[in-house]
This record gives sequence, C-alpha cells and structure tokens, in this order.
Amino acid sequence: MNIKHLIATYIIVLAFWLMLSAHFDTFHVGAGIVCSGVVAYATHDLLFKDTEKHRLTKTLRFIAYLPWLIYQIVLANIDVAKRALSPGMPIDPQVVTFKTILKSDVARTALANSITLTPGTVTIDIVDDVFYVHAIAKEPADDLLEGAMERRIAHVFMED
Amino acid sequence: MSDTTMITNILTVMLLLVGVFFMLAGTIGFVRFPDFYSRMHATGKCDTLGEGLMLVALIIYGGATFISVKILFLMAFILLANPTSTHAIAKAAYDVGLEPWRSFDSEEVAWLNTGDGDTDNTGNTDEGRAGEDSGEVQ
Repeated sequence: MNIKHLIATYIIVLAFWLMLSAHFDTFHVGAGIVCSGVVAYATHDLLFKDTEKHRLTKTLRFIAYLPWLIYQIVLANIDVAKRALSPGMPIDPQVVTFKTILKSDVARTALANSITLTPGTVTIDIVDDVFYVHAIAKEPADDLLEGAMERRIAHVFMED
Repeated sequence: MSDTTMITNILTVMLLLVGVFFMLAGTIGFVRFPDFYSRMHATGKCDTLGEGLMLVALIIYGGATFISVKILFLMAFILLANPTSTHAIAKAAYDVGLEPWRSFDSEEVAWLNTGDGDTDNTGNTDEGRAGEDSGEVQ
C-alpha cells in the first residue's frame, strides 16, 4: 500500500465532500472525515497508478488541450445544426478506418471521445489498433484521416 | 435595476437562447437524419454544447456560490459522459450488424455499372445492399 497515494486520494475525496455538502457544522464535516477515510482506503489504488510517469506534465498539457477541444465542439454544433436545418440536408455518411499510433488506454479513450465531439465524426469501435469512425460526409472524414487531432493527443500523453 | 444586474440578465438570456437553439437543431436533426448513426451525430454533439451553454447561463445568473461549483462539475461530467455513451450505443448497433445508410449519390456509379436496365435495384434498399457492403462489418 502506497501511503502517499492514500493521503492524496483522501484529500481529493474530502475536498469533493465539502464542496458538495456546503455545510460546515460539526456533524457534516465529521461525517465527511469518516466517510472520506473509508472511501479513500477502498479506492486509493484506482486514482493513482504506480507505473504512470510524468503525471503533472500530462495533466497540464491536457488542460492546455481543453480550449481547442471546446472550440472544436462549437464548430461541431454549428456543422450539425447547418446540416440538420438546411433543406437539402447535405449528408453522405460513410464508415472510415484508420490505424492509430497511440499506445495507452487513456490516450485512446481521449482520442475516441475527441473524435465524437469534433465536427462530423463519431467513433464506433476500436479493434486492436484500428479506429472505426462514422463520418457524416466526405470532408469531415478527410479532415480526420489527415491526423491533426491524433498528433495533438499524442503530444498531450507524451507518445510522440 | 442596476446596470450590473441588467448585463447579467442579458448575458443569461442570450446564452440560454443559444443553448436552446442548439438543442432544437439537434432535435430537428434527430428527426430528419435518415438512419441510426447519423442521428447519433445530432444528439451526441448538440446536447453537449446546448446543455453546456445553459449551465454557463445558470452560473452567470447565480453568481459565485457552491452551487456554481457543482454546476461546473456537472458540465465536466456531461463532457465526459456524452461522447462515451454515444460511442457505446453506436458500437452496440455496429456489433449487431446495422448497416449505415448511404446517400444515393455515393452509390450512383456502382448502380450505373450494373448496366442491364435493372431499375428496381436503386442501391438504397436493404436487400440490394446487404451483400456489397458486408465487408465493412466485423
């Protein structure tokens, strides 16, 4: 048992409790201290993994990645709204596949969710190294296959 | 009404309206799009931004309280859960072999190449497509 991880988990869980309860009398804080202890003891090896390296750099890079992701979400919504509301409904759905360079599960999950949130593409499945993506038209599929997003994710999780 | 309250109110109403617009566009897309997968595009994306904008409006209206921190957490969870559930549903559909809808334009060439005046086979019926696309499905 890693005592550092236990303490870190305890602090995070307790802070989350205090934020959600927003009552600072003896009963609520006391219950929080006890419950956080139990939860932290049971789950301290879930949140932090011993094997993971450069955790701080990855976290900071991920936070730096978020504004770009939010910008892409806005673009995606305008794109879908345009396609849904225009009378001709310019869609030409297709399934495309590509092989990923990402290794870790976290990086692949981040890429899959980012693909779903960005314009015109939804991740269907990942089989071994291959992503199956449903694209609503040809242009989003071409943009995806160009691979800019995968390089960003690779940079965030230090796999480039 | 003081100036600050008015600006807060105007911002809140504008954000709510934009959020409602995207939710509406997503719903219209859900009704209009031709098949399961393209409907996932409409619901999976528009809900994320529509709900996000509405929650931002609520934060601006409510001011900095514990409630607004909770709303921030809500936004983070929606941002994480929405694409994940979209992916899960799409994967389930793909696994049971639901064929993605193809527009007529994209199959026009293949259809013309059949050549012998077989006008019943427009390439958009389920029977006509089951064989030629089955290679894409695992």
